[in-house]
Amino acid sequence: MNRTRKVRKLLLAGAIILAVSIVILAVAIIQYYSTIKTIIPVEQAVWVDGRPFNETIVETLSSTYGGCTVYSNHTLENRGDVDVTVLFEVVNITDGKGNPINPLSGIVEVSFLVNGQPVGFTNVPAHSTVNFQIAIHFHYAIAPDVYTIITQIKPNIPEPSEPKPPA
Amino acid sequence: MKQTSLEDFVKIKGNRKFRIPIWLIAVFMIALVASASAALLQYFGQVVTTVEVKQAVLLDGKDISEMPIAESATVSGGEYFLTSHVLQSQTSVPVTLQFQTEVAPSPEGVTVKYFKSSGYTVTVTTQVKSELSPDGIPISVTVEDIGDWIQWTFDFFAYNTSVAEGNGKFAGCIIISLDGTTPTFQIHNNDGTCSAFPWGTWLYSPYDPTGGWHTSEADWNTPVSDIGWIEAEGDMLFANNPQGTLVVRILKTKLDTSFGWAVYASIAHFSTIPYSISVYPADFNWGSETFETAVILEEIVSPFVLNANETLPFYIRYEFNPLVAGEYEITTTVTVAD
Repeated sequence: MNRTRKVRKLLLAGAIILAVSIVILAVAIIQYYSTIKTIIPVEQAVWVDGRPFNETIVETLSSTYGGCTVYSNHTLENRGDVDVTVLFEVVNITDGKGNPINPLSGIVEVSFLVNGQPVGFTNVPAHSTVNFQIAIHFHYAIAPDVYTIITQIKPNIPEPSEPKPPA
Repeated sequence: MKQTSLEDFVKIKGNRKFRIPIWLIAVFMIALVASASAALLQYFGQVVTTVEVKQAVLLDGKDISEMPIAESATVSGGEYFLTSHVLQSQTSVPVTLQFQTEVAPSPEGVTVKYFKSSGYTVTVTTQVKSELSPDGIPISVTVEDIGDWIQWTFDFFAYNTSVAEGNGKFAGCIIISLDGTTPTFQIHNNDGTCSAFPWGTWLYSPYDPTGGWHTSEADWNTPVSDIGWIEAEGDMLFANNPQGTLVVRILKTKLDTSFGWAVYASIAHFSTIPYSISVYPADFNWGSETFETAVILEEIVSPFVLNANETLPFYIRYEFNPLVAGEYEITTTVTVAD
């Protein structure tokens, strides 16, 4: 009987110690007091003609003649808080049958003008608008046809530089 | 502490090991990186520009889809003919062009050259034939290039100081020599020379190399109104032509790159203006005609520059050797000179 009581007391003491230990342990592993989940819709910084990147701008210019240069006017609007450098790039030039034309062939020459000067890139200051032109010059011997030029305005994202070996 | 190896990481139960190829892991890693960078825009905007481009240079107002331009002529060996065309630049930059000529079946005996207007213009004062009209007055004749035509304008009052009144008449005559020495034809407003036609009728009368002029004969006169390559204006009578102006035009293609011309004019039946006969050149006489040389066309040497938006009328001159006979196909191609 006494032995039984001793065992019970021992078990009860053990249970109390275990419970206290768990509580102490639980208190010790709290990592934060609360959680905040933030959802922010972010729109692109630079808008071309007031349109987002997924809305391609399609334009048809007035007919022209070989040897002539045609221009289309566009705007860049930086809605962000930091200056952004954008790159101009010719993606594709095709004739009326969809045949590609090498941009380096001189048959169709595309350049980008900011303030009337040809540029490959331009800086768009924060919260400002920059006008630019796409200038398309056709060689005077070009075959009469309907030509399509696709250009893109790209963010200037520098390639990560590889660490240089010590000298 | 034992480090967990990649093999341990991919170990699954049953002690069976599945070795994952390194390349698959590399692809996974690349995909992982790509998915991370996909959050950055590849471009801010895209512009698709469509432009209809027309041919920079047109020939006779036509582009390449309307080529070739076909024309034909019948000539005898030793003869030549000219055709008139126009190059038209639609572009804002100078264009360097060249003519290329192909002659089939053989170029032998066939000469093809290309010419443009020299801008010929001259104003002369006729010489009074004092032996015929001692009190006569000269007139003014202006010869000018007016595009496809060479035009002669007679001004009978250029040197007149009298009041023009009476039943005055103006008689004008142009004499053409294609070789510069022998007359070829004359154009005159019949001053009674040929009774078969009313006075004042503009007539074309060819020269007979063996018999001289037959201007008085009906068969040797053709009304200019029946000839497409000659135009003549101006009434013989002062009453209907108080300005005293006669105008004659001849198509350049019916002349040559150079030729000789002369004029013969008379004023008569005015009450105040003396009867006048005058000529140019000064030593011109019927039967011993002399001519002023007019160089109306100059050769175009390829390559040549067609300036921005320039319109260039040009002439192709085909000349055939006297020994040439047969049918020839002559093709002129206007190409871009590199």
